[in-house]
Amino acid sequence: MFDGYRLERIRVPGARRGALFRLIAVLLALAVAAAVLALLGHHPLTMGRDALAYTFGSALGLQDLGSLVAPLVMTGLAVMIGKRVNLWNIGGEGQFYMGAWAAAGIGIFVPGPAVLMLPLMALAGAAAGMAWIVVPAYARARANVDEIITTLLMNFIAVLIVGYFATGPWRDPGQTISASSRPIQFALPGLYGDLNIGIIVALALVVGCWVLFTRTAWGYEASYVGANTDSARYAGIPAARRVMATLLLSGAVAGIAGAIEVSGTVSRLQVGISSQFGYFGIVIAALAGGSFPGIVLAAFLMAVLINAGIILETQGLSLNAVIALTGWLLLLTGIAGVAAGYRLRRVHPRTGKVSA
Amino acid sequence: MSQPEPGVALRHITKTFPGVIANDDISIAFRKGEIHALLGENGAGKSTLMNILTGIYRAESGEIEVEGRPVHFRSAADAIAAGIGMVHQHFKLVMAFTVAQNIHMGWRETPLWLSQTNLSARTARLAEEFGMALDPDAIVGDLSAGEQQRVEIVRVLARGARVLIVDEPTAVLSPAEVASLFTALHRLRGTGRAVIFISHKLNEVLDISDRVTILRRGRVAGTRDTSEMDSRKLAAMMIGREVIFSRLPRSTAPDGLRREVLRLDGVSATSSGRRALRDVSLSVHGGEILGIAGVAGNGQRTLTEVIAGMVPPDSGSIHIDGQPSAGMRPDAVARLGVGHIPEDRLKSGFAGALSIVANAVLRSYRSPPVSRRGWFSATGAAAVAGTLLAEADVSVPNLGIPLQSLSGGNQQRLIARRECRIAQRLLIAAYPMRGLDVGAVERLRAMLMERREAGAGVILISEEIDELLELADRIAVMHHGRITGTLEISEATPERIGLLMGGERDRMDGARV
Repeated sequence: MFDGYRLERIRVPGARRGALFRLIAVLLALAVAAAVLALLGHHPLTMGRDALAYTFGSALGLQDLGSLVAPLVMTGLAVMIGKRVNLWNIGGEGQFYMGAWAAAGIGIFVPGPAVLMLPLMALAGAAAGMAWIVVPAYARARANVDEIITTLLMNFIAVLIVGYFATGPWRDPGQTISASSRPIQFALPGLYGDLNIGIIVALALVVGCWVLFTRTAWGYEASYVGANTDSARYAGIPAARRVMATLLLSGAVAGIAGAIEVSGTVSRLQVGISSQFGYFGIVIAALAGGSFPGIVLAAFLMAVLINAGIILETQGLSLNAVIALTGWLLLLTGIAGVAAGYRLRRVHPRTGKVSA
Repeated sequence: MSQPEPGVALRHITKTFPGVIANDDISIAFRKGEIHALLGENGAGKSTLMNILTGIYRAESGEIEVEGRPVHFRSAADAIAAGIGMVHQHFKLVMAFTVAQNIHMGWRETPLWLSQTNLSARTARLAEEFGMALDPDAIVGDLSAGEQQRVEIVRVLARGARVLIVDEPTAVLSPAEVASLFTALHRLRGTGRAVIFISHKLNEVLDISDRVTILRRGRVAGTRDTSEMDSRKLAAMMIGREVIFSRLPRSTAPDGLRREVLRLDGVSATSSGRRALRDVSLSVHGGEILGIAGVAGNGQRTLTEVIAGMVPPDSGSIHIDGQPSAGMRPDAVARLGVGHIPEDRLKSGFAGALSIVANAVLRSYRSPPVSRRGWFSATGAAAVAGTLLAEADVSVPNLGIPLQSLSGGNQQRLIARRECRIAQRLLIAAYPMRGLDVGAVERLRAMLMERREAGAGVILISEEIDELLELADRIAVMHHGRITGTLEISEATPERIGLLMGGERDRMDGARV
C-alpha cells in the first residue's frame, strides 16, 4: 500500500520540525481519546467544550489551572535537567513526596516567623529531594548502574514513608478522614484567589536552569558529559562529578515542588499528595523536547488536560482516563521524535525519479 | 577477458543531497569475474553510489542494469533479490548470537522450524560451499575481526549474491587476515562473481584489483586496467593533481626553540588492570618529531593517555617544558600547551550529537573569549568555532548543526586543527592518518610539519614504518609496554625497526631515549 513512497532519512532535522511533530502527536492523542470516549457513549466535543469553558471562563477555573501548572513545571523541569546529562530521572514522584514530607515536618513542628520558615521549608524540600536521588546518582556516576530502575524504585519507598507519617505519627487527631497530617502553620503568600506564588518560584527555577545550562561553563561541561562521557574524560571534564551534581539538582527541583505543594496548595501532608506529578513530569519533558520555554508550554497543556479530567469527574469520567491519555501521549511523542528524522517521498515507479 | 560479460552496470547515475551533488552522471560497468576497485577520497561519492546500488538510496536519474536487464530497486531487499550483496565496513552482526544464527537471521530461506543442530549443519555446508573456514556454533562476539568478516561474506553469498561489494574491508584486519581475505576474494572472482572493492588505500587497490574506477568529487575521474597504474598515477587521479609526497625536509626550527618540551623518567602505568607501560623514559625537544613505532596494542595508547593526563602514572615522573605534570588533569595538561589527537578520535575526540560550536570549544571553553568567570558566551564560542573552521578549511551551512552531520574526513580535520591550535609545546598524534584518504593525509602531514617548524615537539604514533621514516626525526620503538630502542633517523631502517618491534633490544642504545 506504500508502493510508490519511501522513507528518507533527514540528515539534520531542525528543532522546528521536531516541535511540529510533537504537536501532531498531541493532536493525535487527543483525537484517539475523543474516539474512545465516543465509543463509550460520551460526547467528547461537548465534554471538551464544557471543560475548557469552565477552565478558562471562570476565575476559579483559572486559579485551579495555575495551581496545577506550578508543580508540573517543576517536575517537568526536574526530568529535563536529568536529560541534560542524558539520564532519565524517573524518580520525580518520590522526590516530590520526600520534599513534601520534609517541608511538612518543619511546617508542622518548628515554630518561627513565616518569612523565615517558608524558605526553610523549601530548602528542606530541596535537601530531601536530593537525598532521594543521591544513591541512584552515585551508583550511576561511579558504577554505571541504570538510573531509570533505581530512581523508579525509590518512588515506592517514598510513597510508603509519606503514607506512614500522614496516617501515623503526624496524623491529625481531630480529622476524621485518616489520610492526612496535622495542618502546616505557614502558607505561601497568595497571588490571586487560590493561586499562590508557587508559580513564580517554578518559573524562576526554569529561568535559573536555563541560564545555568546554556550560559555557564559548568552547564557546557554537564551537557558535554551527557553527550559523550569518553570525550569528556579526554578533555579533563570531571564527568562523574557533573553527573552527580546535575542529578542532585534534578532531585532538588522535584523536592522543591513537593515543598511548595504542602506549603501552598494543600497545607497538610496527605497520602496522595503528589497526584502523579512526578510521572506527568516525564511526559512534559518529552513534549518539551529539550527546550526550557517548552517545559512551561508543555506543563500548561498538561495542566489543562488534568484540570479537564477533574472537572469531568462530575460527568462520570475518572481522572484515570487523563492518566491513560498521558501514557498514550508519551508513546506518540516518542514516535514523533523518531518520525521527525524522516521524510516521506513519492517515487515515480517508472523512472525511479523522486520528488518531495 | 576477450568478451567480458556484464555483471552490473551503472549508467548516468545522479544523486543530490541538499546543497551537494553526491553523484554526478556516474557510469561504471562491473564485469563478472573481475575484482573492480572503487577508489576515492572521503566524500568522493563512493558510499552514496553503493547505497544506490544496494537499494538504500534512489538515484534522481540514471539506470542500473544487472546482467543486461534494467532493474529498479525500491528497497534493500530488491537489491539482494537481484543478487547484489554488500559487506559493510562496520559489520551488521548480532554479537551475542552464534555464527549459524547470524547467517540465518532475516533470511527468507531459513526454515520456520529448525533445530540448532540443523542450523549448524546448514551453516557448515554454506561455509564449505564458499570456501570459508567458519565454526557455526561460535559466538560472533568472541571472533576476531577477520572471522566476523567471513561471517558477513558467507551471509551475503548465501543470499545469492552475484555481485559482492566489500567496503574498506581491510581497515579492521591484521596483515595475515588481509592476506586470507585477498585469497578468498580471488576465489570468488574465479566463480564468476563480480567483486567491487571499495578502498582509499592505493597499495591494496594495486595488489588486488583487475580494474579500478577512480571517483573524484562525485564524478568518475576514470576507469583503468590496474596493470597500467602505479600509486603515483592513482593518487593524482584521486585528488586531481600531483601529490607532494616526497621525503619531507628535516626540521628548520631555530635552535632557540629546541629545548626539551617533554621528559618521561621511569614511567610505569596500568590500563584496565594490566601493566601497560613499563619503566618508559623518553624525551622530546621542540622542533622535532619523535615517531613511536610498534604493533598497535603495545602500550602506545597508555603512553598517550599518561602524557595527556588521562591516566595517572603508577611511578616515574613526567615533565612538560620543565614542569612536573604527573597527576594533572587533561585540561591542566592542555593549558601547558599540549594538544592530543587521540587514537579513537571519533569516539573520544568529539561529542557528535552536539553542535559544531560545542565541539570546537572543547579545549578553550575555560578561558576568554568563550567564557569569563564561569559565564559561557555563545558569541565568543561561535567566533572560536568560526576561526577553527576557516583554518581547517571546512565549510558548513551553520555552526549549530550537530558535528556528526559532517563527513568523517571533515570531523577528523576539525579535531586535528583544534589540537594543533593548543599544541604550543607538544602535539601527541596517535595514528592520525588512520582512515584518511590521500588528500587528507597530505594536509595532516602539513599540519604536523607546521607545528614542528613553530617549535613544538610532536609525538607521532604509527604502525606504518614508511610513514615514520618520512616524517620523524627520531624513532622510538615500543614492545610490551617498553621502549625497546630509539634510532636517529639517519640510522633507522625498516629492518632495524622491525627487529625492535619484535622485542629485540637495541644493543647500541638500550632503553634510554
